[in-house]
Amino acid sequence: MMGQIQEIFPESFDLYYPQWQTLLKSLTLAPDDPVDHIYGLIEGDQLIGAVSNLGPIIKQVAIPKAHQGGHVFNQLISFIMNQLAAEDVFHYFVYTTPSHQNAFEHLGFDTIAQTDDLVFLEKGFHGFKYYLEQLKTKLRDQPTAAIVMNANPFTLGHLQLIQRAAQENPQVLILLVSAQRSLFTFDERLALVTQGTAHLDNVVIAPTDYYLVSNGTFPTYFLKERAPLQVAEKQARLDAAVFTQYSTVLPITKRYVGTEPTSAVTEIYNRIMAEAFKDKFPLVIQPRQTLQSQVISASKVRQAIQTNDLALIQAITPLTTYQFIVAHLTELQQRKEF
Amino acid sequence: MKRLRTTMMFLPGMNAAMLRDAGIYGADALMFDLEDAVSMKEKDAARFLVHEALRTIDYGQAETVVRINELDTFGRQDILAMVDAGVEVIRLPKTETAQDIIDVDQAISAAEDRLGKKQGQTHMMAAIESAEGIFNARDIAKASDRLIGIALGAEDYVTNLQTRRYPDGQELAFGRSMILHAARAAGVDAIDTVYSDIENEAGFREEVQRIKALGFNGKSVVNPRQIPIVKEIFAPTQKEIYQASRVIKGIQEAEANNSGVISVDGKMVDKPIVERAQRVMQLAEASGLIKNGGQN
Amino acid sequence: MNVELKHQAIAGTTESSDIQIMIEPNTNEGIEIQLDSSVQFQFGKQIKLVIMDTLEKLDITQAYVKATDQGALDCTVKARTLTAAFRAADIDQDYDWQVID
Repeated sequence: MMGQIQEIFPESFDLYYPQWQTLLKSLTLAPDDPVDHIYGLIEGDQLIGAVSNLGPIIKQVAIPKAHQGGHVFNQLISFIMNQLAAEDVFHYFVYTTPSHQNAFEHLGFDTIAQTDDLVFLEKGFHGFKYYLEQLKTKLRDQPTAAIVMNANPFTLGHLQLIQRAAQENPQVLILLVSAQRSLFTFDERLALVTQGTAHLDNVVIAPTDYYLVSNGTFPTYFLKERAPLQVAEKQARLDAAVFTQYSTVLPITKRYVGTEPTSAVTEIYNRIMAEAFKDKFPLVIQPRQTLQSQVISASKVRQAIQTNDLALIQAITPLTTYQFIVAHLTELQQRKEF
Repeated sequence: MKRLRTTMMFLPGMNAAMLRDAGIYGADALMFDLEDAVSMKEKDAARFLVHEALRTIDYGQAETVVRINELDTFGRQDILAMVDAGVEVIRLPKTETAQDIIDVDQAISAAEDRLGKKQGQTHMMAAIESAEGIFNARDIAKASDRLIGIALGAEDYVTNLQTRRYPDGQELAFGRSMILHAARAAGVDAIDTVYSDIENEAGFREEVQRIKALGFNGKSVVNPRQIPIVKEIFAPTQKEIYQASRVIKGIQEAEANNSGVISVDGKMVDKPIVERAQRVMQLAEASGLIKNGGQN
Repeated sequence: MNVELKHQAIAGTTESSDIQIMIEPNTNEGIEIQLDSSVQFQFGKQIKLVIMDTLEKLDITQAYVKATDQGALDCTVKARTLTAAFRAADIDQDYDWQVID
């Protein structure tokens, strides 16, 4: 017989949860990574494999040595794809170690990017290639500066960076982080960036979808100060590898980033990118604008929302962002930030 | 001739590899499961897969059986698909009353009509899995001409009894006896439940010996490894084969003389003895102990 | 039988001897099949043919199909294609078995 797959709950009553924790640790995976569901393959009373998902991302693929090499892996991955399909998810992402890369490709997954430590793969209609093709149609074939931002929310610091890039380059592509792990929703962030850059006619805004700075490639980005820096470094390297793929299809000639002296993860990210893009295109680092010797940053705006400091918000955001915050202040204060 | 059902192999209806290979292990009957082995989300997928498998894969001599879902869930759709695919036997799970059988019988008749199949070509089996079903076993076994056998489904049955399965099978003794008596009274086969601990060969042997002694026609198996064990235990002894072969000779002589009376060594042999002799020869052939019904 | 694909759907598994079929409506005329197979070299053509035939029977003329084969028999390819197509069309009963055959 082939064993039964069942959900494992991180609860004390779950018979298999301790086995699962032990298994993950033995494979140097982190049992406390955020996930939606954990599924285990049970044979007899033994856990002989497990897999988890966070939205469409398949992760924590954990199979003991004795059961590696095919059958258990296929059964688990197949199962989780069908589980996700039942929730109308038909585009799957995998964030895993290179040791699983072949096995996933054998199941029809395509590699988006890889580093020595991590591989990022996907399976679904209209994947990364299609995304890049679509993106290409939005751009004129001219030297383009790319800026990736979360803009949570859009500040004068963001605006200044974009304005500089717009002056120095025929075209600017703003890749707005799609992942919904921020105080401001994607639609709100998109609206504020669009309004705030309406006066610039060489700016194109597009979502990063699942690809850049996503929950898949770069989960520690959203943890900021709480992130283990070694892990963040590996993830940043993978994210930079994904961005390099953009530049092979799109006319990207420069990447612009801001500095954030207060965030260690951002510093690492910038350093890793400089290394990764070295022979390909320049990374332009723009020091953050300051206001009375204080760095202008989105996190300052979010703090000011909590403390009702409207004057500060007005001072460091464009008018459109300020007006949005004033109109939604109570609602924003009540939202849970990740 | 009556078909042997010494081994009935359970196959999860969702598993393409097992469906492909099912025919090669020599099971007398193959039971494709659309019920408990298939999750709610995959009922449609399993139904299509078994449908296509039955239509195209050659399962040789093996009798094809499909365990459908209950009528009030997916059962009616299962019946339509399986009758279309030309399944030999439809097995109803969790049979409680004769009316359950009559309802399925009617659903099969309607499907045969609608699909232009010969009326009555699809047989039925009833699995009894509750105390209520055990008490109604006799009526169930007689409820339809389509019925070829009744079976005990022990997992649900012991749950219903508020116990679990024990190695000595004491908890199943009453249920098994009821099933067997009901089957014999109705002239259909009695098939025993599965033994799911495939690693425990000694325990499996013991159980097969026990149900053979009770009079069961065969055993449900969940793994090909269990098949030769059942065959070995059900295989007749040399002496049984010898005695049966003499009865068969008597039959042949009677046929040659156009006589309605069968005799062996001058003694008249009646119908139960004839039937037993035929069954022994069938079992002997199935176990590879003789060839061509002993007529070589 | 008129089966109209309404959304994406998936059927089958990536286990040995099986095939996983993903299907979605195509705005362009025609059926496009992308096949990943462990045995594509020998059997790729045949698998695509079975998928095509099966969809044709259901009068489906516009679809994207992504198939991941692990050495499935033709009957398995057909069964998984049928399952995916009906799921994508939100049809879960009263199939016309004579057409399917």
